[in-house]
Amino acid sequence: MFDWLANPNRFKKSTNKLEPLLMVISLLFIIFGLYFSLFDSPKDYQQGDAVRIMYVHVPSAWLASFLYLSLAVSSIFYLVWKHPLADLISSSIAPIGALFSILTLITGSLWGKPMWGTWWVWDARLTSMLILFFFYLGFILLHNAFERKIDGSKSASVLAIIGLINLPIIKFSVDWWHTLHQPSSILKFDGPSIDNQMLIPLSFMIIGFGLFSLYLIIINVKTKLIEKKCEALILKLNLKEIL
Amino acid sequence: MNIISWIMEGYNVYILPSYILTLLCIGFLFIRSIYQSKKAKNLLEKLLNSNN
Repeated sequence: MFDWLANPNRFKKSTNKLEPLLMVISLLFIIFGLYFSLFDSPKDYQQGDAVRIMYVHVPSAWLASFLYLSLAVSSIFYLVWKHPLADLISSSIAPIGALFSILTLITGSLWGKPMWGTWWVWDARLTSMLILFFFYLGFILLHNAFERKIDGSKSASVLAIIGLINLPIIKFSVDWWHTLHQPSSILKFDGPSIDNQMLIPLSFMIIGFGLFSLYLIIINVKTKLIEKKCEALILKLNLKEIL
Repeated sequence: MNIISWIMEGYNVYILPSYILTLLCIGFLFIRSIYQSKKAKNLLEKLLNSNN
């Protein structure tokens, strides 16, 4: 599939129809998700209404991790198989993932204050999420740090692959260490431990955010393809002038 | 509606900023992507015209 889409023209053609569809479906999921999570989901018996922060915090956290995984896989494709689209995909994912990771930290902080009595603790889960944000930041900075674009792409891809080690730490930090952060309640071997009335709005928000991110990534990749075309044209025009 | 009890519980000070910030970030990403896409398309059009 990736191999087939690695052709820029094929990528453009196959995503043209997908683009508006993704936008409409993701917005519907987000709108319904917002309604359910704010007005039509129960309070938690311990946390009360503060649990509603979960519906924006958890999707942001999941997406930050999943987007990083996609960024790293794309970087592997770029370094190993030199796919023309792989670098464009990873550089399109990076700002979106960075924003979701900072959102996770801020919404987590806003949830932590009323529940734990503090905005921040150097807890394993919180710290590993902060490190994820730094990896995203590092990727973006490295990608743009070199005069020769290919050097930036290569070094950023290497950093992205190194950062993969942080993903299992984020996931299992709550099991490996005694943390203030609660343990997993959805992705568990014995099934989710939260009620369906909460799981449904949460799923709506996760699907909505996920599809919307995919939509943004497609737009960004297409923009970068156009920019590449522009660079080639500028070079051609400059050559014409010289000759 | 739940909203009344929700406001009365006092957690809205934390809940509302979370939701507003999340939606603002999503909106920002959307506007940024569309703006950059339009900018690139306009540049390509100009370059194609000057090339011809």
